[in-house]
This record gives sequence, structure tokens and C-alpha cells, in this order.
Amino acid sequence: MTIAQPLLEIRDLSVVYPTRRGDVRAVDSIFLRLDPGSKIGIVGESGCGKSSVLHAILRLIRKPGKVSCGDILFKGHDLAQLSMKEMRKLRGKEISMIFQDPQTTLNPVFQVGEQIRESLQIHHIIPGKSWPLFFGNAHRRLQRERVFQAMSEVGIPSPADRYWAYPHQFSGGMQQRALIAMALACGPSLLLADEPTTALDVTIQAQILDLMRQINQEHHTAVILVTHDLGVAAEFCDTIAVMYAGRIVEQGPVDEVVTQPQHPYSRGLLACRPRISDKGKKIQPIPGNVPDIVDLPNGCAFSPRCPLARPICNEGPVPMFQTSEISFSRCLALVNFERIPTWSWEHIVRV
Amino acid sequence: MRTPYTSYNLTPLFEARNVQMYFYLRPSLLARALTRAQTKIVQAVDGVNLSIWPGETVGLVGESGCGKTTLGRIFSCLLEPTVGQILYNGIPVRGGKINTAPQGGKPPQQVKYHRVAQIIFQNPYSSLNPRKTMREILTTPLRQRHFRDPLEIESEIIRLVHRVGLSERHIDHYPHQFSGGQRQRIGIARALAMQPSFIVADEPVSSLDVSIQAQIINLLEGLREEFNLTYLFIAHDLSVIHYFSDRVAVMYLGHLVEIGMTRVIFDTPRHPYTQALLAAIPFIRKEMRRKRILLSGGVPSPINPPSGCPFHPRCFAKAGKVCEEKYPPYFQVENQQVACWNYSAYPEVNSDGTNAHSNPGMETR
Repeated sequence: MTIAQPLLEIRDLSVVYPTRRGDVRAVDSIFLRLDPGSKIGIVGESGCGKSSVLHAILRLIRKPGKVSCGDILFKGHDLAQLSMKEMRKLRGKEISMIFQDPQTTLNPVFQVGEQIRESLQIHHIIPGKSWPLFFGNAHRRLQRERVFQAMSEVGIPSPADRYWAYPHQFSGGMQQRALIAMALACGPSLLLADEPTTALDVTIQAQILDLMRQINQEHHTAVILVTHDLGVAAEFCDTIAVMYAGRIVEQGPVDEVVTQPQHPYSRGLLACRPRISDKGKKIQPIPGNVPDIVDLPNGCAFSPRCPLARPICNEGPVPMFQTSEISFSRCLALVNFERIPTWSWEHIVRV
Repeated sequence: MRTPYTSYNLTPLFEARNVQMYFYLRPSLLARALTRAQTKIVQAVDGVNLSIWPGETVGLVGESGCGKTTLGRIFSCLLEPTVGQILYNGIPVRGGKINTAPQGGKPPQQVKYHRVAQIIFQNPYSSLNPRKTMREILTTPLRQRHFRDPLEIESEIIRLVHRVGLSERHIDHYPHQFSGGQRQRIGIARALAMQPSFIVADEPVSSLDVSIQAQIINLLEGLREEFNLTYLFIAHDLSVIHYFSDRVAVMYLGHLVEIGMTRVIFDTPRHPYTQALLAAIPFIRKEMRRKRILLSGGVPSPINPPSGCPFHPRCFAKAGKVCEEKYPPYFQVENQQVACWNYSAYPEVNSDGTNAHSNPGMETR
């Protein structure tokens, strides 16, 4: 049996932002593998590097920040080897992205429909050159028809009227739908969603998640969903990766991560949310603060807040421990706090 | 969920009576001259009756733009309602002051409303003055309480700072030197400094990280027990409301659509909007997920609200034509009050459960 080629493979990715106080390793040796049509959720608190992963995939890391090491393979091609021109073709067509705040992502001075039309035109889904003035209108009408189709696909009612509306005339949910229409118009095989529902209300959030689920099923689009809400990730994704201070601390199928979290941080995240299902249960906050990512401890970054922490946790790198075929966790408690000196952050150790 | 230490037979500590808040959007002179643009009225809060009894926590929940923050600001007297009034112990609040009734030969006294009610703001990044240190921020309310002696002020500040879980080493730091969670703690200390009996918490955790949220909720909970505080807890996060409140009021487009004890509302939501809201919560565990109710569209604009029941354009269980024509009164369905025509077979009541046709001044329970 041959293993199908993954859609996206991230190997040992690190993203570094140099600052006056030293290098900030926002993303530190991350491995991810995404099959076509699958849904993976990256969960973590603010500043843990989850957005940087998405930006690195699209090569959108702003200078002076850079990808310091690692490969990102998309359909077998190394994205770092592509020229600027090739990369630009890929963005929006093969890989598209939805951003957190629809209000700031849309251009306030252009009509929403025109912005969708532009993205279609750039990727040659609709022919760009306008015909001579005489035929111009008919041609434009054809272009618009295609945009209307894209708009009604994401559930924008009466697209013919909404085409000419400006972003401020749309509600938050509608703006997000317009962005999704733009992202999906070219039929990408990978959709990167950076907190797509954080700025929205719960009822609208349910609508948008439903829309994304429908797109995933109908067009077989793979999705990477970045969120801080474990509930959203649990409901939407098949696989969850929990990030803390730039590293993935736990990764596995949703049901396993949610019911039997292996890492104390994932356990803490689950215990600190009040849950409607657990009546009268006290919530257990994680003590302390999110660490300053500039001077991280030598070992496990979570150890200062961890209830299980022992001195050995800070003595050196903690490798990924593979607990089953598809679940991984980065905690020394899994090996009874015994460390082998040759371990590094990139190792994967079977337990 | 706890049992509130309150008796609903007493006079409510705070009461909003038929509160309406209108904001006027007046176009610029140029726009008026050129386009004959009219002044638009935003009906942010439209006829809300809400009673809060001493020692209880009322959760106010709704989507953005439904007027919950405006109602919270009216309750903390930062906004004067266009129509209606706030009552403290049955005495109307006027101009931020309460005239207490003469008691046992004493002449009536005037008390500042801010001595009894304080507010914690949503965004700890913008609600603290960036040019003042934590000491200065906390000194202002203490001066209101007539603290004069610097030593006394110092010891009181240290006591407050310790109570909210900050270190006295940071007393002379500026807000930007603190993290989001710590800043929210300063905001809480500032509210506590007035020794209020009532705190309006306006989305106190929604701008914080998940792991910090729990710390702040636990702090607020500890303070509630220690000082027997009454809270109006505003949030859009239903699981936080469920955890923290004794009673829940659901707000939609300036109206309270359903009021009841937390357990009742979450177990048997009656209003279609509440049902949809609860169905939209993402659940971590599969078996807990409810049948999805997808509402079409978004919240309508409060500038031009729909006729009749404001929810009727999105409603999936309309009672009939009456929904589009008349705003429903509250119906007493078992232990909750619901503003929905589907329950018109039940007795009509005021939003606090009193008989609709009795004189509101002579409440009998």
C-alpha cells in the first residue's frame, strides 16, 4: 500500500523575530502533516506563535522576522524554493487565508463585489482584459455573474444588490462571508483560517463554522483553523495541535485530546473553562502568566506554571513523545521524568 | 452554581424601571444642507424593567449591539436614561445622587450613587489612564471616601493590591508595565476601593487570555463571598454566565426577552432566541452538543428596528401575524418570564414576576 502524498507537510519549522532584547522564537521546530480534505486545529493563547505558522506557510512573515529553518512542502514542492512570482500565483489560488478581523481586511474604499471580482481576475478565473468599449458592458456583466455566484455560494442574500455595497454597510458576519467568498472563489485546496470567528457573535460564529464545514465537505478543501477557543476547535476539526510558547505541546485526534489530554497545559486549558455540562464544578485556573517568549527556560516552557514540574524539566530539551500512532505529547511525565542527554527538541520518542 | 444569599421578598437593591436610552445621530450641517439627511435615533435600550436583589448576581447576555453595555452603564449611572429611572432601595437616583429617606428624626441625606455602585470595564488596556501609576489610580477613589492621611492611604492601597492578587512592589508602575490580567486586577481594585455594594462587570474577561480568564473569574467570585457583593455581570460568553450568575436576563435589540434563574434558563430555554443562542455554543464534548438551530442573517439595526417583536425576522417558531404587529408582554412560564407570543396562554406579568396589572409602586410578592 502506498501512502498518499500529504497536501502540506511542515518539517522542523522555526520562525525567528530579532528584537533588541534578543531573538524571539515565535515558532520553534514544528512538524505538521495535512492530508487533502482534512481539518486541523491549532489551539493556543495569544503570543504562542499560532498565527506565525500560517504566515510562514504563505511566506508572509514580515522582515526582520524570518523562517530560520525548516521546510514547508505543498503538494511535494518546497514553498521556500518558489520565486516571488510563482508564490503570488499560489496565494489565493491554491492556498487562501481568512483573517481574524474582517473589518480591517476588506478595503473600505472599494465595493465588496469589486474586491471579489478583482481577486478572480488576478487569478484568471475570469478574463481580465476588458474588450473594446462597445462590448465592455456585456463583458462586465458576465464577470459580475461569476461574482454573484461566488457570493450566493457563501450565503450572501441578494448578491446583485450587495455587490455594490461598501464594507461598512455589511455586518461583521457578512464581511466574513465576503472574505470567505474571496478566499474560495478560486477553489483552493488549502484554506488557512486565522481566528475566523473571534470577532463575531455566537450565533454568527455557528453560521460561519457551518459554512466552512460545508465547503470542506463539498469541495474537499483542507482547513487549518487557528483559534484560542478549544470548543470551536473541538467542534470543527479532526485533529488538534495545542501550542504553547512557540512549540506544539500536544497533538492528536480531537476526541483523544479532549477526553484524555496528556500534557498538563492541555489539561489546564480544559479545566480553566467553565463548562455548562459540569454543574457546580469549580474552575481551576492555570497559575502565573503566559511567558515572555524572549527568555524562555532551557527546558519545558510550561514548567513555571506546571503542577507536575520537577527540576529535571528545566535541564534540557523535551522531545515529542509518541503515545499512539497519531498522538504526540511533549511532557517528561510520560517517561517518569527520566531524561536521556542526547535528546533534542526535534526528536520523536516512542513510549 | 451556588444558591444566592438573597431573599426575593425584600425590596430590590437596584431596579431599572421602564428604562429607555436613545442616542441621536445628527448628521453634519453640510449633510443636512445638501441631502436633507434626517436625525436618526438609535434605540439602544427600549423599555427595560430589571430588578436586582441584594447579594445576587444577574447575568446579562446578548449579542454585540443589543444594548447590554448601555444598560450596564445606566445601572452604574454613567449614562442618564432618556426615559425611566434607576431606583436604589426603592429611592430614585437623580443626577448621580440618592436622597435617602429621613430615618428616626434624622434629616434626609444625600449620598453619591458612585459610593454604592461601581463598574469594571471590558477593556483593561483603555480603561486605565496611561499617565498615572497604580498608586495614583487607586488614590482617587480613596479621596472620595475622605481619606486624608497619606499613611492611611498607603496602607489601604496595599491592602487592596494584595486582595486582588498583585504585588506591592509594583505599586508605582504604570499600566503599560502590567499584563492584561494584571491590568484587569487594577480595574477591580479601583472598583473595590469605593467599598461598593454593587458592581457592574461589563465583559470583565472577554479581552483576556483563556488561562487568565479563570483567574479573574475566581477573584470576582472570592470578592462576592467576602464582601457580599451584588453583581450585574455582562457577557456574551454563555458558559461564563452559566458559571457565575444566579439569574440570567437575555437581551435582544434593546429588549429583555427572557429572565429566569440560571438553571431554568439553561435547562429549558423558552424564547426562540435563547434556544438559538444556547444551541450555538460550541461544546467540547460531543454528547453535550444540542441540535443546531441556525439563525438566518444578523441582528437588525437598532436605528430601524423591526415592527412588533424585534426577533420576528429571524424567528423560526413564529406564533403568527401578531409577532409582526405587537411587541409581546412578559408571560410567566413556570419560573421564568418570557416575552414571546408563543406563550400567550400563560399569565401576563411584569419582568420581575409581579402581576402586570398591579400598581408598580405597591409590589406584593
